[in-house]
Amino acid sequence: MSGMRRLLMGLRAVVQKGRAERELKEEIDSHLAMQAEENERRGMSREAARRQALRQFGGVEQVKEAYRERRGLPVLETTLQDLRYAIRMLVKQPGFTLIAVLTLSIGIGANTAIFSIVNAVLLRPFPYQAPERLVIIQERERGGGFSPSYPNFVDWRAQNTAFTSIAAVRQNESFNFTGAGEPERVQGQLVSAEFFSTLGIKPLVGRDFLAEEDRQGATPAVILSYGLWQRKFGGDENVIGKQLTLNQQSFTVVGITPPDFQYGIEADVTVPFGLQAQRFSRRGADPGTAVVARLKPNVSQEQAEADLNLVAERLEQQFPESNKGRRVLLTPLHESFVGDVRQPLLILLGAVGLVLVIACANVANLLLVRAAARRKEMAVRVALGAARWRIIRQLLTESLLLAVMGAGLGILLAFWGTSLIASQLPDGIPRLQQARVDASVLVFTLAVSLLTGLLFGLAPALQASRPNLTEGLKEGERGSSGRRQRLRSVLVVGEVALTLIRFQQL
Amino acid sequence: MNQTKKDTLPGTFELLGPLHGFGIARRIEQISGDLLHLNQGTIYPALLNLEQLGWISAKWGVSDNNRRAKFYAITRAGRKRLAAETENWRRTHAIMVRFLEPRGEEL
Repeated sequence: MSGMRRLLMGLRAVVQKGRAERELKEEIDSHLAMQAEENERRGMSREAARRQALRQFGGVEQVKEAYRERRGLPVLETTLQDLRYAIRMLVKQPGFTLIAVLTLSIGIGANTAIFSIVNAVLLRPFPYQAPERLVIIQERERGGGFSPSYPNFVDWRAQNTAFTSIAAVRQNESFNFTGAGEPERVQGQLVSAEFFSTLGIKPLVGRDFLAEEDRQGATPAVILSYGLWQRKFGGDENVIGKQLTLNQQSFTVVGITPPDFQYGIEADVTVPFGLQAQRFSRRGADPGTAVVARLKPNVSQEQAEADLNLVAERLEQQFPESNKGRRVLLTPLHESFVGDVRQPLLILLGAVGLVLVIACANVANLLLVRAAARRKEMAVRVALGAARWRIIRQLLTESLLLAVMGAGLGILLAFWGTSLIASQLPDGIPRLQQARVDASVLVFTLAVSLLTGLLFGLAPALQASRPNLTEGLKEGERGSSGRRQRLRSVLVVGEVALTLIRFQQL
Repeated sequence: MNQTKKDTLPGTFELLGPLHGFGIARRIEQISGDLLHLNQGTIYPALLNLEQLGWISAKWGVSDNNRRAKFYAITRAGRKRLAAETENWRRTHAIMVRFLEPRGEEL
């Protein structure tokens, strides 16, 4: 309890330093005046009364120091002191500061941009219910996996025991859309009736497909995307039940998907797969069709694969011409979507990481050169009794300040750079458009900048605060001692090596 | 007890109500029969300590001579603490008396 009060009083004293000092002075002056008055009343002259009052008080400065010591928060005060000094030092040498900050901003900015892409594509979980229970099912023959055919899927759906639900989806189908405003060509997908429920997605408005709607000859139904709904129908909920025409066929709108829904390629319209069952009647490989399923709660992927393979064996007996040697291959959804891009993206991240390390080496070099120029300042501080650790702390504060400024500028660069880099990447990277600098990316940037600050700041700080500083006090010292020069050489050699490695990778 | 005599100032407040630093210092000198001559200034860090512990509260006000001064008053927590310390002190005193003035049968 008293700890809290002490903390608050201490904070107030730090933040309102001027006021706290004025109050202390006023209180003591008031005391001295009152004692002097009493002394005068006892018959002393004004001068003598005043002097006697001071004697009775004791040492005013000592009292003030004891008071300040008791009131203050040493850790906070020294940190603020370090910060003020660091800012002064950096402002005194604007050229150095500018170069260092720019160098760091490029390194940190590049890392932030790439990380925001990595975050969106690789790290963020897919926005479905329990996405770790979802698997992609392919047909397998002699080791290779390929797109399944619709008739095989129908039999899987009927005969499996390992999945709570299984669905087929075929993307990249385009439709001529008429019946509402301007006719246009829209992107569409064919899905079996269980598709949205397998993913755990509920329609925003209206309903999902019914099983009866998912077969040849059923009354055509369509589910619209949120974007299309806003664009063509102004978000009007009365669109449910309306008719529109796709490829000269009349469809009834039954539902709208939620705004942030995305699976693979974005689709404006979703229609039941079964309506075109005749088009997909062959059991051969069917590029473009995918099957996604949700594992039952206590069933592992291996068990499900074994179970479905039994079904595949049965189909092999039934349809020997098409299904001979066909088995199934299960892949977790996440793996299936990002498996291909994981390695290249991580290599890219590693490459910009090296860029940052090179930037740190550069800045460390600059700091070392600067430290040489500040030898006299350091020597004086040590001579005045500064602890080595205190000097190191102050120098690290300068480094961290540079790192934070570099990070600030770097984040600004990353806002612009993320979309630039994303546009340069090859097509087909899932969720790439969702890459942006958000909270988790900023946390990453903060961590990176702190590490960066320590990385380039530690060696120069240790170097500059070394105990043997008497030479620094002598006049006319230029050039570097052996150890300092060696450190700089190591940095340069290391930097060249890293640059060569990077070029090799690209 | 890890507190100096100066830290047990609350006793003074009991008698006088809120008082400024100068008044407290003079009062201590008077009550001790002028045998206790502390450097008056040392009272201020002690008062700050008591304020941080929450046993006294401080407020700026005006003295009888129309001077601005910081007035200190005991708090409820301070009163409780004073009672506890007083009791402690009395007990210690009683024990010391027994050792310093032993009765016949104990020898």
